[in-house]
Amino acid sequence: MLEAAIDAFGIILDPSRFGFLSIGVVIGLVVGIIPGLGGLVGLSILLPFTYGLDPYAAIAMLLALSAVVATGDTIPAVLFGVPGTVGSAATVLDGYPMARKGQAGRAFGAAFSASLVGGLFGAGILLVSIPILRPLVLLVGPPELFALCLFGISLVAMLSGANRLKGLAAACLGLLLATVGDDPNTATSRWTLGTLYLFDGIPLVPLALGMFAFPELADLLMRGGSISADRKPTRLNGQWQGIKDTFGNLGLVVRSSALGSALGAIPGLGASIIDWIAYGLAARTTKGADKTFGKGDVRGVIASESSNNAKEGGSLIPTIAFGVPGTASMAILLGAFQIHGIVPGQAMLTDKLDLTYAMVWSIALANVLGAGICFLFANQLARLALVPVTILVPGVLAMTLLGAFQAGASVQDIYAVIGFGIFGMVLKLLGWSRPAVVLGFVLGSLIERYLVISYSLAGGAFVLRPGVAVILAVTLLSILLPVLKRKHRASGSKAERAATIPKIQINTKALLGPNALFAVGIAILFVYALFSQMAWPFTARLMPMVFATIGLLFSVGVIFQALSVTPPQTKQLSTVTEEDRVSANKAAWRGVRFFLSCIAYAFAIHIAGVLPSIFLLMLYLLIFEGRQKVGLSLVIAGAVVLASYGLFHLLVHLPWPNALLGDIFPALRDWFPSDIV
Amino acid sequence: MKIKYFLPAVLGLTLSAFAASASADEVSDFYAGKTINVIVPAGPASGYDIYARLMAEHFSNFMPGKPTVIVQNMPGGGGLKALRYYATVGKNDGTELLLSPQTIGTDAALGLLGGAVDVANFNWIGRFTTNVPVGVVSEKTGITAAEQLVDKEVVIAGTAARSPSIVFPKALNAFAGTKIKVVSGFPDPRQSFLAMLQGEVDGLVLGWSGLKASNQEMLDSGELIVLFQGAASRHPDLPNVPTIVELAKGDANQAAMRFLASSSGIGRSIAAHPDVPDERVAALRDAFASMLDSPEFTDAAEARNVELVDPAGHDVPQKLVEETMAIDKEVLATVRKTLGL
Repeated sequence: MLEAAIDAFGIILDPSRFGFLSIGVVIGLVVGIIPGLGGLVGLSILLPFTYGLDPYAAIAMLLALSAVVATGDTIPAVLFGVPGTVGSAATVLDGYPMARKGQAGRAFGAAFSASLVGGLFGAGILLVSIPILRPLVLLVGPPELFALCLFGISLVAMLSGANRLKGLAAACLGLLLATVGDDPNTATSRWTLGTLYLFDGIPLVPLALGMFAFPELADLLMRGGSISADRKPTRLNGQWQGIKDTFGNLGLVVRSSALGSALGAIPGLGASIIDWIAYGLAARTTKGADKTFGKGDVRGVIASESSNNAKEGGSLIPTIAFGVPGTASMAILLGAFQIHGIVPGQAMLTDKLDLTYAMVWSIALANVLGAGICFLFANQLARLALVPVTILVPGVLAMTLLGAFQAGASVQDIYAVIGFGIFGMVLKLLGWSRPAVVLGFVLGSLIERYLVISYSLAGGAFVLRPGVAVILAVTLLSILLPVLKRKHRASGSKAERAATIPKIQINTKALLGPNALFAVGIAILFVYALFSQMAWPFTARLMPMVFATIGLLFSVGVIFQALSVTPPQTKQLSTVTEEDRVSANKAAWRGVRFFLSCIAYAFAIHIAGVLPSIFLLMLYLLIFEGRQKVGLSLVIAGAVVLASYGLFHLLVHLPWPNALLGDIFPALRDWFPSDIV
Repeated sequence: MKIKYFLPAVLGLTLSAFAASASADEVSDFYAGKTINVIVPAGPASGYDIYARLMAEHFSNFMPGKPTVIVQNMPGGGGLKALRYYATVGKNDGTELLLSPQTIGTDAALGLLGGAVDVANFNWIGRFTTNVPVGVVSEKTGITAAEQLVDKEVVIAGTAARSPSIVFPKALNAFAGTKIKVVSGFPDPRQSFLAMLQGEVDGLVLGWSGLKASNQEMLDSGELIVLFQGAASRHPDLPNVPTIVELAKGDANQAAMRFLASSSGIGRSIAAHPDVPDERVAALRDAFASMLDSPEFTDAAEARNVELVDPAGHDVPQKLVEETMAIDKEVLATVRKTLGL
């Protein structure tokens, strides 16, 4: 065995194979960095180029790409608060606040080193589990998956921010949104509005990009200046501090990596929930996390980043052992296996062991190389946090819009990303947790799926399976323990407690306040959901009904909370000067105009096409909002559009929707860049 | 032949030869420097995608004007998204082709496509291969032949409501008297496959070519037993496995099964928009046929483990779709009822 491992190392280090591996790493980092693009896009671009390679080189290149996406996607998450892929959404929660505090370098140092350790850990897990691969994968069936997802949703309290009740209502909203689409069991169309777009459910990429990216971009524009809020030069030596952070929290790194590998190895969960669960678990188990997580705690970044790199090694396990891909990227890799005549199964653990080890080495080397490249450029990247936001925001916005569009190649993706962007902004302003919505969303369909499957397989008895019972017990304990602890702590000083509880007294003025109105709106949405599903078959309406009912209860709670009188917080009011108010007003208008221009963009794509309209949108934001020089603005917008054309048109072959301009002047479609109108 | 017929005949022949070469030139001029998009109703590296990629590499060599050929993946809605896109906003000048979802005929007959999709007038170009879903069970069930399914209940894992993984078992229950319990909702066939290995279910329905590529080992060792194939005629690899049509009892039931099985006959076929001019359709068909015949193409397919079973010209998919859409009203009603539509 050792011999096979050493042989495999030699095979991968062959200069030409190592060259292909390096190409894979570079492309993986790039697709990771560009919001909305991820391993799936990268692999599908690269796959045709591997036809002519030998299997080792082909698999090394594809695996290398896939392995480092989770390293690259950290960069926009930290710098702009925009997750590079859906797998790094949880990195935003602490990474972005760190950049705002001028600690982008430290966040990068921690993230890259955590990614490296996580990636190596995942490769290591793959290595040691090779002899026992097959029984391992067979351990987790649909009932256990259901229990795991319930555990995941129990972590929502950690992601709820300051207001638990709002967080829980938000999670229910996410769960409910996940039930939109064609029900697999009864073929009932659930809230698809008669469109094919919603047939497969609301797509995750526009939802996650919209909810996270837009509010942060709007916020940056409103505030002006640069990302690093204190405008001090970002401490570039922070990287070293970040590395020290990672190794100072080695326990956390190992825990998160183990979790990432394990969840990656379980087919049917998907990459998008791994970072959330790792983050939530870290928030629950690390000391003092309730005060610092979400406000720029480096440990949040470490947990998320080590887990999402570790998943790669894990997700190869079921792919190799049974030909069952652990994640969506692995499904493409499985296709590549077929093309190169690699047959998953027992032979991979006996005759073809060198190939299996070559995969382990590919992942390990790719992680080293990927992290190395990132460290090399981290200083330059961290400087981006000092670039005026008036230049950065239009560019990042353009990539976000196009990233959302390429995910499903339909104009509805653009409507969706803008719609979720506006919704996310409202949530942010009113203190509703966006992470809670996204967590609910990524887990909602899984919970429903595996509950229905488990129930139809074994009836209610499935909860008695040992694995299920253990996971459910842990879930219950992890919910109850903090509550009991708090009770215990508080019981000593009843009088004190009574004093802090606000008196329930309805404040009628608050009834028309945005907080109460929004909560009422959400409650109405839940009520609508309950009524509109009456006619569906039972299996189709069961989970939507459960989610909506619980959501309704929580949102009614939020309404009462908004109406109840709380101690007045007048402290700040006195210090607000007329000047402050004027500038706050101006900023608010900038935010409104930002969203209006996005809405205008959604209309413009039908007249001038997706790409030309991006050009116009960028020019507007650069010249009129950013007060940049016309020449510079033309250069920036032109460069972004040309690069996008190269990437999306020439490489990804994205079909651009027909626009009015092209219908009227068909000759335009033959010009360079062709077919974009 | 008398001289007075001879001259006009020669003249006519010459003229038509001119016309033909003129139209060949026209086609060649049209495609020169252009790009043909092949729309694929599934994701990269999927069972559809591998055929389109193969075509993208070879088709150009056989096409007048040597246009570039590229692949556009458009997964979603069980193939409906790509189909509707192609029928409604796709290019109708012959620069965009559809690798058709194989259920195109049945979906059209069942009224799932909406009015905008004019399937009856699609210009079929040709077929790469048939694509046969098979029903497999684990050896642990003790079942070795499809006939036993009538007496013994097995649990089959399925994916989405209208996919073959659910349609075929349900049809067997209705038309062949089997007692299959279908548990739906698995995210994809590989996931159902895992559930079978875990012993959660007894079996599943999945594509034969994919199964063969990834799990030959388990087929050889007898861990997996193929019970039936969802096709109208037997796959050359599976001469001893009955088709669902053979298993159905009575003429009406067999007609219903033949209707559902038509999808595997359409398999991986290329279609062009109804509005594409005739001479371009003819050129596309010729090029496709030459490509299928060429050793470069078949060798590349073999090297990449891409199966080519009964490749055919345009008439085969055309006829299959016509027959499927002309299904007897009563039979269609039974099928609708069986599928819960």
